[in-house]
This record gives sequence, structure tokens and C-alpha cells, in this order.
Amino acid sequence: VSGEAQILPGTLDLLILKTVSLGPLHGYGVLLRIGQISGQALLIEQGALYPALFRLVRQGLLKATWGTSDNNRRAKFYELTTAGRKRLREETDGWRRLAAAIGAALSAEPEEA
Amino acid sequence: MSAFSWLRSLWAGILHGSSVRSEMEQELRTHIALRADDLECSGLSRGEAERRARIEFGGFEKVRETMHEALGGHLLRTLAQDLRYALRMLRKTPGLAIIAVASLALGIGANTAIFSLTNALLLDAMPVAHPEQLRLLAWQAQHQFGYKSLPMESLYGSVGFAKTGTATGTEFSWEEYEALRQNQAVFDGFTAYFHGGGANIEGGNDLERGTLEYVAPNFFDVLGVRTAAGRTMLPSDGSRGGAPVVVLSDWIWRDMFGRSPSIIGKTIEVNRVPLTVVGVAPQSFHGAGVDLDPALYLPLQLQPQISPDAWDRGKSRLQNGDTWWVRILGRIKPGVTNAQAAAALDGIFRQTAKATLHHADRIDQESVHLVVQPGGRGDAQRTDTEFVPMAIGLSALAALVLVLACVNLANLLLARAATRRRELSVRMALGARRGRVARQLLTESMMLALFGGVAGVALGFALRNVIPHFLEHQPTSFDWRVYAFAAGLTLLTGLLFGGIPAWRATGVEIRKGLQDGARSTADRSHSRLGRSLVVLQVCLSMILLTGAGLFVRTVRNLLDAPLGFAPHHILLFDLVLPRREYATPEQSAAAFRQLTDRLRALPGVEAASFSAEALVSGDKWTANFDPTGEPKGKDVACTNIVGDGFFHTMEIPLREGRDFGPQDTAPSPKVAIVNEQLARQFFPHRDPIGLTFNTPPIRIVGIAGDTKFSTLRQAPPPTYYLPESQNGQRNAGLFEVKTAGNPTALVNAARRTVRSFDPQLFAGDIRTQQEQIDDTIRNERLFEMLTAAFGGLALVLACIGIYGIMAYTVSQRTSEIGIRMALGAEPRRVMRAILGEAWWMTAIGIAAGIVGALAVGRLAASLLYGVQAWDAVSLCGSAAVLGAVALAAGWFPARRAAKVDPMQALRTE
Repeated sequence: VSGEAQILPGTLDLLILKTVSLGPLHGYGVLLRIGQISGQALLIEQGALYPALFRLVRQGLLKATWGTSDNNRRAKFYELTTAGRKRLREETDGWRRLAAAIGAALSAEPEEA
Repeated sequence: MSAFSWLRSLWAGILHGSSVRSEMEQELRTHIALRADDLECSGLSRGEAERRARIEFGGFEKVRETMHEALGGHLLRTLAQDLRYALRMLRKTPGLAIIAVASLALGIGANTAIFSLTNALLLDAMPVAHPEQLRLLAWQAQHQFGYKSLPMESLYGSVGFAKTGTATGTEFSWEEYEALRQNQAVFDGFTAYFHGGGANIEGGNDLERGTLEYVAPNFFDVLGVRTAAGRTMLPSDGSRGGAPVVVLSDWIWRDMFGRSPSIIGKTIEVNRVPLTVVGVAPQSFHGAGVDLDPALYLPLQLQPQISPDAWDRGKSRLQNGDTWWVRILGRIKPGVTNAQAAAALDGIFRQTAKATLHHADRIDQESVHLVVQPGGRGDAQRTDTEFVPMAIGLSALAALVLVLACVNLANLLLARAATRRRELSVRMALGARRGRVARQLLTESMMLALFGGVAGVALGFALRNVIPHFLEHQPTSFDWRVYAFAAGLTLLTGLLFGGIPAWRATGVEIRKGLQDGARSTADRSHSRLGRSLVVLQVCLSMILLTGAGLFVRTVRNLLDAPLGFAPHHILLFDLVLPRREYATPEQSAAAFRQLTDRLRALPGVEAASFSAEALVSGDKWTANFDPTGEPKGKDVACTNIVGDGFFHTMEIPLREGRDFGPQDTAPSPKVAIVNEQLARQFFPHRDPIGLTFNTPPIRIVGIAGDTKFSTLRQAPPPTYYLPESQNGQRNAGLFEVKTAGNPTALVNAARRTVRSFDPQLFAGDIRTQQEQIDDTIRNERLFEMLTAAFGGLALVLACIGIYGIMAYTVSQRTSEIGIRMALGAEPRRVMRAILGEAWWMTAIGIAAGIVGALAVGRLAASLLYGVQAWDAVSLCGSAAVLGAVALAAGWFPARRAAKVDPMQALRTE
């Protein structure tokens, strides 16, 4: 599909933090939400998601609690910790700066070079 | 990840490991269920929905493993898992496990045993206080003519002649020692010693033979060695006329006196001289060297009394500045370099030498100077000249065997990994990563290595005294260096033989690996690697077998070399006459003659005689040989003092002139018999009979046949014999008894004869002449034995290797062979094809092995005798044996190939 984009290395963590900041989610929910908020443009390999979630929990950026899903299944729900919220802010700023810089660089005209 | 969070996670992993893991799995399952729920909503059946969800998710195993790795303690846990699995796999293939452990045990055991010896010989310092401060004094001369141009007249020790033109020795005269000791200021302690040779030790109704270490009274104090009981020597013990005292070694204390402390103050007799025991040396101490094991330590001043030497000609060495015999050790002052110390002592050294030597002019002529060498290992002369090349040779040999065992195992594991390809493919298809599977395989080989290593260390420990025994070296100890060496070796071998197969085996393409009976390219490349390993194995075996051939032939040649005398049926023993009862030369000469007569009268004895030295004893006794009318001090020749009937007893033919006889008495003109070599060398155009040499002149009355003198390797040197009747003053000698039958049958009779002649005498060190000769070729025998054993082992390993690779090839190609035979190929052709392959590998291996064997042979050239490195018999013999073994090892798989039933083979496809 032409609308799909490969996610850049290192950006998966940022995406997860953003998604979870909108409200507690289980793993499958994170997957669906990323698709939804990116207009189905970003697809994440299902196998890569859980190691990333596990890593974030261990770094203290997320915390996990067991709960029940909409269709009554026992699932692990993730939400941001204070540290996670702080990290999200920093990473978002950093990403915006990087995106702006790359955008500016790419829109440069030949005579200006 | 911060160290703290890692630790916390490790802690959680250990504490709640299993609950965390089950939570993870629960979470993943929930994910798949939720996805299936969604798919079900879109109209799929539940079963189909679940299937699709699982496919979408991908490798469940892989995800789980990645998460597990993030969990602390992961490595420990997988290691335990791998170990359990490895044990299970080994139990499933006990044959492989046994071969692996046994060949590794032999390889590691041989290396450990040899390393423990090398360790003791080359690395150990003496067990004394601060051995690094000790220095051994030596002198250096610019030599021009070898021994005969050295300034001193007699020297007890060997001189190293370097190619650079310098001669180095470590012996000094007593006067040099005294002068240096009294005038030196660069050493904190200064002491001397002399390795005194064998003696009879009597005490507590027991008799032992052991070597003596003559030492200066301050010897123990300078070295910082405390006695285990009693005291060390006092300065008064050494002074002339002081009390004759002795310090026991631990082994004499144990063997003769059961470690009784009451021995202090008691009297023992050494060569019939009574001495008072004042102390016992500690168990770890073995004299002033790392390759000695003396029985007793005595004051140097007792040497002339206890170990009289024929060559001292009745003169005490303590008063003879021309006899250089004592070695000097000093404890250097802090901050003084060796060069500074040598410079500080050189003046006194040269001054004293000029004052005491007969050839004082040579001190300047030959530019003799004092040098200071490291002394922490004592003199270690035997070590440097004899053991170092030996240790290098043995280590190389053992390393070769270990490499061979590793190559063999790598090959076996490679073949086995190939049969496990399906299993490995399945695991990798389920998402296990290559590194993980390789680690599992490596764990298996490391486990084999570990078992082999433990067995090897046990074997090495059991064998630790075998090689030292051969070398007449004290038993070596197993210290941490030996264990570290064995552990390192084990690790290395495990990586070496396990690494390549593990990496290769996990490099398969999963799809191909899963296809039943697939013939993939990976398979072919395995065979290629396997074949190269077999070629390497054959090559190494060829080297070892050729080495065995060379040493077997060396020993044969040495034993077959004409001796010039008849060694069979000759019994030898030493006799020492106590100075008290046999004070005059006449008394001791009479005793030697009477005892000879009694021995001749024994039933079964054909002849008997005596001499100063045994033939082929390893020692070379030389003396000046100055033909009358020629410049003096120019030449030396080997010499021996012999009793009546010596030539007859030893069957040395007299070529010309006469034997010694009753007409040769002390007052009559001095006579000698020379050998043919001497006649050829010194009197090439004259008849030597009637000519004279030396002062007072000695007349040559006969020419005897040439005999080997000190070793089997050396051609008969120029030798002259002197009659005992004109060269008395001896208190020690060697008896030769020629028997009609087996000489060992006469041991007891000889012993009784000596006792009945004088109850306080006894026959020492009874041996046959053949044993005496065998003693001098111990090193060659050791190499013969080891290369033969290692060569045999190599043959067995090569056999296993060839069989393994051929059997594997046949099993892999069963269906191909089946098709060929279905198409009409004859069994004989199939068999020939398989055998041909085995032959090719062997032929290439042998060719490479010949090159290697030539190189090794050149390195070992100094140990060979009568054979060259390119010895055709050894090379062809080894090649033939290896070829035959290869044929046999390939024959069984080839026959199995020829018996393949085409129908059966095709059906299994």
C-alpha cells in the first residue's frame, strides 16, 4: 500500500509513549491506536511491540496493571509514569526540531546552496 | 539502562523469574485472542480467526526470547537450560561422548603432565627467601682451542662454548672463593657449594645410596632456609679440624630414621666417615638447583676425606688452586646491578687466578673475566643443556596430539550436527536465533571439553612422575600454574573443536533444512570442510608416525653401534674403601686385587677386573696427552685406570704389543696402552709402541681396539689406559664381573663376596653393563616411547576420522547410490568410488605430512642418531601404515554402500 511508511529506528518508543499518554491501553490497543492516529500510515510489526513495552516498563517510563478488556479478556494495561510523561515531552520537542531541520534542509533551493 | 535498574531487574528475574515469565506469555496470548476477536467480528469462523491471528503475530518463540533476554539473569538461566539439554544429548550418543572424552583426556593429560615438568624445570625458582636477589658467579674466557686452552688444569663442571668465541663456566677454586668472599662489598651474603656425587650412607642399621651436596657453613643462612629440625651449620663446622657434621635431607630423614627428632646429635657414617647430625633441611628444599635431590648436606671441607677422587691424585682440592670445583652464590645488595657487581669483583678474581694457576699467563691471553648471572634457580646446568630442548620437544609433541584430538572431534561434531540439521532447522523456524542455537551447540562441546579436561588433569596427575622418573628428576608438583594451564587448554580446545561446527551447523537455510532428505549446498560444503579436517588429521598422524619411526631407528642404531667391547654378561658395582682401615695405597691396592681374585673364584664367573670408571657412563674423563718432544699442554685424551685382566674381561682386543702384567709394578718404568684412534691421531706415520708421553714419561706398550667411551653417540675418542699397579692412591673403584649366564643371577653372590671379604664393605649401585649403557640413552628412549605411543594414538584417531567421514558420506548419498545401482551400476564400481575418495584424502594428507615430518625431523636432528630427517624407511613405513589404515577405515562404509538395496534406498527418498 502506498500510504504505508516504515517507522524510523528509535521512534517506536516515542510512538508508544504518545499513544499511551492519551489513556491506558493494553498491547493490542497500542497497536490499533498507532494505526488509527497515524491514519493507518504507520504499521508496527506485532512481534516488535512487546519487547519495546517490556523495555519501557523496566526503564520506569510506563507502568503496567492487569485489568479486563472491553470484550472481557484479562489484559495488561499500560499508562505513563511521571518520568514517562517528562520523557515524552523531551522526545517530542527533539523530534520536532529534527523534523523541522530536515524539512528545511530538503526544501533548500539549488542557488542557495 | 542504568546499572541500578539492571540489578533490580536481575533481582526480580531471580526472585520472581517464573511468575514474570508466565505473565509475559499470558500477555502475548491475550494479544492473539484480542486480534482473533476482531477478525471474528469481520466474519471469519473462530478457528480461522485464531489461525490468522497467530500467523500475523509471527514467531512467538522469538518475541518471547527477546523479552526473556531483557529480563535479568537471562544468561544464567539459559546456561542451566543448555547444560541440561547438552547432558541429555550426550546420553543419547554415548559412543561419541566416550570417544570425545577419552581422546581429550589423553591430549590434555599428556599436555598437563609435560607442562608440570616444564613448569618445574623452567619456571620454578629455588624455595628460598627472595630468590630474585641471588646471583651465581661465573667466569668467561675468549677460548681458542676448547678445553685444552682453558687456564685451570682440572675443572669439575661443564663449560659452555658459545659460537661468539666465549667460554663460560661456573666453577671456581677454593682459593678464589676465599679471596672473593673476604674482599667483596657488593653482596649481603656469599656462599659456595659443590654437587659431590654418590655416596653410601649408613645409620640406624640401614644403608642408603644418595648424592652429597657439599656446602659452605653459611649456605643455609645466606639462602634463608630454616631447618625442619636441629640447626644449620656453624662457621666452626667448616673450619679445618672442626667437628665433622651433617645436615640431613628430608627424604633421608624419612627413609632412614622415620622422621624421628631424636636423630639430632646422633652419628651416621658417610663412606665410612662418622658424622654428627646437627639438623634436617625442610622438605621443599632440594639443594642449590631446581633439578637436584641431594641426600645430605656436608661442609665443603670434608670433601677430600669423604669423596676422594682418583683424579685429585691424593692432593686436597682445598689446597689446589688449579682445581676449579666450587660454585658461588651471593645475595646482591639492593640497587647493585650485575655489571657493577662483576666489575667490583673482577680485580680480585684475576689477581687471585694469576697467583694460584700454573698457566697464569692464560688469564690475560684468553681474557678471563668474572661475570655475575641470575642465581634464583641455582646453577640449573642440567636444565639448560639437557632439559630445555627436551621440554620444548615434548611440549611440541603433546601439542600436536591435542590438535589432532581437536580436529578429530571437530569432524565428529560436524557430522553429528549435520544429522541434527532437521532439529536445528525446526528450532530456528520457531524463531530461535542463530546465535542462540550456536550457543547451545557450543555448550555441548564445552561440556565434552570439561569432562575431557577433568579426566585429563586426573591422568596428568597420575602420570606426573613417569617422565621425571625417566629423566631421573625429582617428582614435579602440581601447583596453580599447572591447573591454570589445564583449564586454559580445556577452554581453548572446547572453542576450537566446537566453534566451527556450531557456527556451520546453524548457517543452514531453514527451508532446505526442513525438506526431508534435502541435498543442499550447505551439505556439500560440510563435506568439504570435513574432508579437509580428515586430510589435516592424516597429515598430523603422518608427522607423529614418522617421528616414531625416526626415534625407534635412533634407539636401534645406538644399541647396534659397535661398542668395541662385549657388554653382555657383565655385572658392575662400585666399591669405596674407608680411609681409616685402608690408609695406604698398598693397602687399598691389595684389597682390590684380593677381592678380584675372590670374585673370579665364584661359580659362574668367567672373568673379573676393576677400573676407575665405567665404560659408557656419560662422563668423560680426560687428561693431558703430551707426546715427548712436542709442546706441552696442547692436547688431551680420554683416560682410564684399569686393573689386571680388564681387556680380557671386557673383551677389548689387543691389536699390538702386550697387556699389562706382573712386571708393571710401582717402581718399574711407567707404561700405558693406547687405543687405535689415539695411535691414528697422534702418530699417523709411526708405530707408537715404545714411544713416551707426559712427565714423568709413560711408555706405550700396547695398542687396544677402539671403544665407545662416555656416550654411544660419540665416536671412540683417543684413549689411553694406565695400569692400576702404577697409579694407586685410590680408595674408590668399579668392579667388572663377567658371567657365563645371566649376570643378574650373580648379584647376591657378588654382594656376599664383598661382605665376607670385609663386613664393613659393600657392593654399591650393582647394575649390568647393559643397564649402564641404557642409562645414557634415557632421553632417546623417552622420545621413542612417547612418539610411539602418540603415533599409535594418532593412528587410532585418524582411523576414527576417516571412518566417520566416509560413513557419513555414504549415509548422505544412500539414495544417489540407490539410483545409480537401479540404473545398472555394479556394486564393485560403487565400492571403488567410495574407497577412491578415502584414498584421495589419505594421499593428500600423507603428502602434506611428509613435508611436515621433514621440518620436524630437521628440528629434532640433534636427538637423532644414524638417521636423517628424510629417512626413507621411516617415511615409507609411516605412509604404508597410514595407507593401510585408511583403506581399512574406508572399507566398511564402502561395503555398506555396495550393499545398498536400490528399492529400499529409493523408497526412503
